[in-house]
Amino acid sequence: MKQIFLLALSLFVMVDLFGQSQGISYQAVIIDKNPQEIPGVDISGNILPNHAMQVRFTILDALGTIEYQEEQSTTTDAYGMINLTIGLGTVTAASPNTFIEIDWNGAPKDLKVDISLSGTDLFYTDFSFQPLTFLPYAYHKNITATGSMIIDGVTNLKSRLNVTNGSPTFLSGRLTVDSAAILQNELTVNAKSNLKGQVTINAALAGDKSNYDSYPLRVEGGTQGLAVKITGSRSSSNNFVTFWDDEKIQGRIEGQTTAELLSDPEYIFDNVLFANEILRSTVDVAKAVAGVVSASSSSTVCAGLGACVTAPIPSLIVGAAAQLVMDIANLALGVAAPIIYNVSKHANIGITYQSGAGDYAEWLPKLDLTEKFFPGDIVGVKGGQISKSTENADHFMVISQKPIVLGNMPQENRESSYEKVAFMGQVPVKVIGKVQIGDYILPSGSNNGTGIAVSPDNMQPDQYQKIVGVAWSSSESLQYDYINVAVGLNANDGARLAIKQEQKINAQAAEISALKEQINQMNAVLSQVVPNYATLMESNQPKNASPTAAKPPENGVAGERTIIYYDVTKEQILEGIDLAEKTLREKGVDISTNPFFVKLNTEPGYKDSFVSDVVATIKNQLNITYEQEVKSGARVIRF
Amino acid sequence: MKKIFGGLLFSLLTLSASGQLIFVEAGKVISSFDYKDSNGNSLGKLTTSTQNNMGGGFRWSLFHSPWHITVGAAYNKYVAKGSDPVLGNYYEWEVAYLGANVGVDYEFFRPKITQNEQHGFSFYIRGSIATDFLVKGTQQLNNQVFNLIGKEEFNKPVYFLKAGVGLNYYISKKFILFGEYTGGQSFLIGNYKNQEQLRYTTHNISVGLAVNLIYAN
Repeated sequence: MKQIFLLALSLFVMVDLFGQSQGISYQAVIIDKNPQEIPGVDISGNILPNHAMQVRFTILDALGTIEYQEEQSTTTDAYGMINLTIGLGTVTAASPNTFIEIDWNGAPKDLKVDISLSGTDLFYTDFSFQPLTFLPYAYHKNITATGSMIIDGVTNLKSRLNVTNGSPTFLSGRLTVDSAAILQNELTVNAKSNLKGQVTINAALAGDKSNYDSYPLRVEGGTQGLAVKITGSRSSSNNFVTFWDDEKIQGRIEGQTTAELLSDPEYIFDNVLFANEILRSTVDVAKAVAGVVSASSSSTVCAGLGACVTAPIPSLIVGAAAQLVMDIANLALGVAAPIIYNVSKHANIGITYQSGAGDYAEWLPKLDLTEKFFPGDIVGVKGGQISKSTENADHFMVISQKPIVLGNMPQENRESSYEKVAFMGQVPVKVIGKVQIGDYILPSGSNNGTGIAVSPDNMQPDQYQKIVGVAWSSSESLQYDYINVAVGLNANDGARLAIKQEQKINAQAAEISALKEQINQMNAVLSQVVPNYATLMESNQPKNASPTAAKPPENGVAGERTIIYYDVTKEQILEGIDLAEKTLREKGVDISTNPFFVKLNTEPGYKDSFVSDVVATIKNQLNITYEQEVKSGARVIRF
Repeated sequence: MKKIFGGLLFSLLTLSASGQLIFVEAGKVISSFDYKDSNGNSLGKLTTSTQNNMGGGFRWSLFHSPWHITVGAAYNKYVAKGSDPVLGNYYEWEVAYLGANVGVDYEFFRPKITQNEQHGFSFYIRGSIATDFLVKGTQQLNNQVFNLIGKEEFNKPVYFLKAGVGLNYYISKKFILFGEYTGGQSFLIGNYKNQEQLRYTTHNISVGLAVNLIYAN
């Protein structure tokens, strides 16, 4: 056939995605292999424009086996180009698959193209044969790549991405996951993690509490532990940590403001205790002042003037001054303590630990390992070991039911040898009989863990050392009941007893003084009405009577009481200060931390001012006493 | 053809020397190519081009009759250009031929010699055959230029049939000034096996001066 065009080709094959269609885009320029005849040198390489033709595409596997074959009719354009999509033609009978059934398994594949330039008869000639080096577009098929796959552009995966065979996945850039992410295995983050949403750790773990692996959240690897920072300022409305169980909130660690501190019952209670302590110290100082006045005076019952006059002993004055200094120092300490306490409390306002449990407890060993204890049992502590037997016990405490803080944790597997004993706070206690709020709870003496309630008015001195706590709830039951008892708060109850006894002693002393005055008056009367009465009384005086003891009048007439007062000098107070410091040091007291002595020894002018104030106070008290003695008819001499 | 040409030349040399003229001429030649490929497809319209030509020769009057025989040589240059808008090709040929020609012309109204001078006009018609030999030729194809020496259509002589008319002006009995027009058509050129067909068509206008050798002495 003379007009057969033998074609050279310029071929372009590219893979493309056609929106809704599937296939491989194919583009080629048909070149007329026969030169165009002109005079002289013929023209070669002419395009073949506007020519109808048939194209047959064949995809072969590595062995040359046909995997797919199709035919398409087309016409070259004005530039000799054809634009076709492999996959949209008519599948030939020789094709074992449709296009979408081609298995792009990564094995080499070739594309063979035949063309027929006849518009009527098919007469295919080889056009091209080339390997498919492009990754074919496989919209519905899996792609198996045995080597590396590098994609420089954006890749949109519209279906699931599986990385199998335990192969790792490395991302050098940011990973953004718009939907929920589920990790079926361990997650290791080697850098700081910012989780801006709520984090729930729902680890279905079981195991003993002593097992480290039993805990869903473990914080380790740093020198610090867990830090919780809330937004905004702290208050009781902001819980740093809240403890829940299946029922409700069982405890929390919450913020605390100054207002909340001032309304804190514990804070108020502590300040009441401090106030009582200051009151007791004030009483001590008043007594000390009276003691100095007493030491600076000498009282002698004389039958006449002059002979029976005796002077106060200077050492007693100095000693009384020293006692006064120590009591003032104690008062300063008593005043300083609540100040320090409040400064500390206010400085450390931050968080509070709140729990349904109300006491601080420690594990204490059992005296008898076979003895059974139950929460609320009163136990006696002997040498640090507990027993229900309270006889000869050092302390009287209660088995805690659910402490908020539990110290002195025993070694592992030795818990059965220990019990949780409440040291401070509120704890339910088994009490027999009626209980009023404010009653002292004492061991019942039955050695069965029960207690009894005793009203403060009915307390006997020997019972104070047995106080377990103070009832904060009442009971009308005649049987035993669980009473909410405040324990560990009775340190000052002994002081109350001392104050009470002191008041009683003072009353008795006043009564004795009144009796002595009455006896003196009776002696005077009897000396006037009974002959030799004074002589008989003198002969009956004990020979080793003190110089200050009253002597019967030598003239047989009852002598009047003569009192000599010496004003206390600044030198005596200074000696008293030195003696007080010496005495306290000998007792092992560190006066360098006592606010009174610190101020006394470091603040210029304070010592002089203090001494002057003390002298003035004593002088004032002496004046009062002097007036009282004068009014009582005593003979008073003042130096 | 060779025999015809040889016999004609011999006859001229043996003729009477009376009426011998020698002439030179120069003018313009308008040429065009007529080409069809082996499929009978033409190149379309090729543009013509006007080039210079020159020539010269001898002219004999046969027995003082109005018939003349002319033998001459000429240098002709032919140019043709064309393009194919579909395929986007441009082509141009520029060829130069050196040729020989022999012809016969018949002169009308030749003025008579009076008082030993000859003045006046005459005109003549001429028929001739010519053969050209390529001396230089190039072909430009798009941006390429090829030498046509030795190429198929150009490696053989070109034979022409030409006819024309002319006007003589007898300046004297020795000098004749003339101008003429000659149209020519070549035979098929080059290789004819594949039935490619190339012909030249020429239109030549020239002026020349003839010298009567008899009166020149």
